[in-house]
Amino acid sequence: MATPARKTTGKRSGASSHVSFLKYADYRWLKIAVGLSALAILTYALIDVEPRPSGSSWYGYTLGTIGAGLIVWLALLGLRKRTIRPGQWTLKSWVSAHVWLGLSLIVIATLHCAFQFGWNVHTLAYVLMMAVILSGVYGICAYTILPRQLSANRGEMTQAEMLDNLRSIDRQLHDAAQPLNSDLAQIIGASLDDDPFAGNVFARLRNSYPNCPTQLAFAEVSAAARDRSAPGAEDIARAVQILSRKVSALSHIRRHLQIKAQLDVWLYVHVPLTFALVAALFAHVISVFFYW
Amino acid sequence: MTFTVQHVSFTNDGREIVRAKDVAQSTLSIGRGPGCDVALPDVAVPLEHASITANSDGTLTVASTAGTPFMANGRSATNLTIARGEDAVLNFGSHELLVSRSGEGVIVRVERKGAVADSSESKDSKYVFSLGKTGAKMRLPAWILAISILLTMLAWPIWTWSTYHMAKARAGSVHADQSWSPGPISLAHASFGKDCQACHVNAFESVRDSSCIACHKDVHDHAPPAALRDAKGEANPFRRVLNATSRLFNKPENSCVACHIEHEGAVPMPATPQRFCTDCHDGLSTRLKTTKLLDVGDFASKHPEFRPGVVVTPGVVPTIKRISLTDKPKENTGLKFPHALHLSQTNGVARMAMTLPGYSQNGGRGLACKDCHVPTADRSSFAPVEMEKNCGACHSLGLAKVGGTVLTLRHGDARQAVAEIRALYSGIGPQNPAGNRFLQGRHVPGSPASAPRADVGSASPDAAIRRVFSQGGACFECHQVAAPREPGSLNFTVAPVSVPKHYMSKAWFDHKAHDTAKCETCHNAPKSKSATDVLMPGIKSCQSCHAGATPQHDKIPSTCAMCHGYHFEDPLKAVSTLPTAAVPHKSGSAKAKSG
Repeated sequence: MATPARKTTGKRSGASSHVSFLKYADYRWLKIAVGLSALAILTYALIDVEPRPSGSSWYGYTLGTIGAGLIVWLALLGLRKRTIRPGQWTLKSWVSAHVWLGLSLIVIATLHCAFQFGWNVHTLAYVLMMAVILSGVYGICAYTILPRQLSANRGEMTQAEMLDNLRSIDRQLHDAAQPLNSDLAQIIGASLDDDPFAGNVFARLRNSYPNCPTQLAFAEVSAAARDRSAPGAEDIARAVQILSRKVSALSHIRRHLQIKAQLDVWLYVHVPLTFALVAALFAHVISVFFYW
Repeated sequence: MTFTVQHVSFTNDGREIVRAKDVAQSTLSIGRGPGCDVALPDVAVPLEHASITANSDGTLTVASTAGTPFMANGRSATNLTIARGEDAVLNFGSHELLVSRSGEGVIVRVERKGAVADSSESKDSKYVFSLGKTGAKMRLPAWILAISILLTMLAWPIWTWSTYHMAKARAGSVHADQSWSPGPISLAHASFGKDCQACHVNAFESVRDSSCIACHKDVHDHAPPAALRDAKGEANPFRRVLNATSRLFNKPENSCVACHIEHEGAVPMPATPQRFCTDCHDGLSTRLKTTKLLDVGDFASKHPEFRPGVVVTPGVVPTIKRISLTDKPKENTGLKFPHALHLSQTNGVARMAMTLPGYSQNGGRGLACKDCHVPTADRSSFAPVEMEKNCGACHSLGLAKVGGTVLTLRHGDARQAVAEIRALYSGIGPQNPAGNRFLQGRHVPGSPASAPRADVGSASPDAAIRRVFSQGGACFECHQVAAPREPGSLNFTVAPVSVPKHYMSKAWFDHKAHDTAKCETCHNAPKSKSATDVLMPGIKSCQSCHAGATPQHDKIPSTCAMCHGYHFEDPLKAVSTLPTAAVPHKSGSAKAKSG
């Protein structure tokens, strides 16, 4: 009996093989964004707005409307990504459009304001928008470069597995410490009591954990292990061996934390600034028509 | 004495498991060491930490073995006596020992309170690996920022507006709605300073004409509304969309602010864009059939030749016609003034000028334009030429010398001049008028000395009057004089002089802006041999420096508003005219060229 040919939808066939959000649909959104920007630049150059180009000309209002619409739509990605649903508009296509159209805003908004800046609500909205875009550009770089590093660092382990591994090592370490003298046992106790996730944002980003109890314990217990004739030398050696495994496990976890922090930190700028931008945009639009 | 040691642990679902063993001895050792009676697998506990001794009096003594303290009932201690019948809670490392009595025996309940390691504690891996674990917040700063901006940039300015709504003026100081200003206002309106509401009156309503008219009370309309409407014609589809959009957002068409755009910087208000003129005037005749105006588009290509207002008949109300320079118009101002004669550098006029103190500064080149045409204080135009001031040095009206003072004929009043001559002859004059140096006449500059100019060197007053008004006479020299109709009459008529202050009645011209050029670059005066020549430059002369609205290399972009005004008063209405009368005639202003 012949095997029926696998039915493919065509539209979603690309989803099985990994395509970056930047290259999604053969750079469809890049092309649209470049087209939009080029059109804006061309019309800006060709349309003679008198007495000089400004946001309050018909051309300025047109670009402003497009820009404001784009900003609101781009901000809606925050809602869209929480909604898991099928359909042609996959999250990846949203992200791709979000990234490329977001970048095109640099051109559209700058031409909208026609390079006129001042200490006012209008420039505030512009500056916030540029800050949001800048943080987004960091995000693009992070999402392009870091996932590979993240994957390389953790091997095939999931985060839960990393944690379980640490738990297992800690249990063994706890048991191995039992025969040791009080000094060594306390040093190991400090390692056991240490929370590997306690570091703040900067510690995570820099992967810097000075006075790490585990590192100290490893150094101290290793030093004690050098005296092979000491009583309980075998117990100490066993503890050293387990401590070295913990050091290695911790270093993986901390590198993972660093990469994850680098991957996520921009969102803590991008999202609050987006809220600020939407508020400033609202104030900008209302103020323009209020004092019309 | 029997100690019952109960090791308590819990299953995952919280069920308690108790493993008990009895130790029948009077002292119970506690420590991490496997040999201890209460062996605590706890790295924080020394191998041998403490012991509990049952005393004969029924009390219990807990004593640290190596001096390492433990927690006794919540306090750090190295020694504790538990009275008979009392219980105690002891903590060693992560372990809690509850010492209680059971009859004669002692129960020691051992329970691990702390986890073996930090990692053993319950952790949500997704959470601990996220930045949220570090205390980084996303929503809180987002809302704080958004709400702060809405309050300071929206709510506060609206509150300011509502506070001063319809108020005549606002106090100085800072007003929140200034944060809405898209740019500095023009110098013309700088006095409004921080008072946005001087123009922006009602919310969501564009600046109304009433705001402008409050100050600009005398601005008149450009044309009747019906003519304006017809001149515009049918708007193109694009313009129709724009107009509809403007109406949708409560911005009326044809308002003051449609042309006069503000907030473009602290500079003079920018010129009104050209399209506001050419939308109507380019091809106007096709839409407004009755118009006498010529179609005008861009200055570079669609502007007709200039049509200066030329005086064709001088008079109290002179006849002025706008004639295209293409038609080589001739003017009749009532004067005889050949510019070429006066600007020559070699003729008698030049030689005479060289001898006069006031004109000898021209480097021996005779007269210059500036000798007669004196700029106004703002240097934009020229003061009217006055006979006495600008011509009198050569064209003397001297009649006689009385004492040390020269008696002159009254200029501009023929009747007075006649009376003065008669007075001279009848008494106060010289006894021998013929011997009077003034009355002997003067030489026409450049003419031979033997041919004196005949002025009033006459034996009788009638002859003198006749000579003054006749060829060779002082009046006749510059003025058109009509001889009396009746023979023997002295009823000479001096034609009125009408020199327009402005030739370009529909435009303005700033001489100061052009003071880098020589006069003759534009005005061909040195070659003009007749007073009838109209010395206004043609459009090509202007176009050599001025482009249209579109910038051109080496040329100044020039839109309509550079020379024309929408609310412009016609200067021809204020033309310099001279009152005319039968004989008595008041001569006056001479030509002052202006655009």
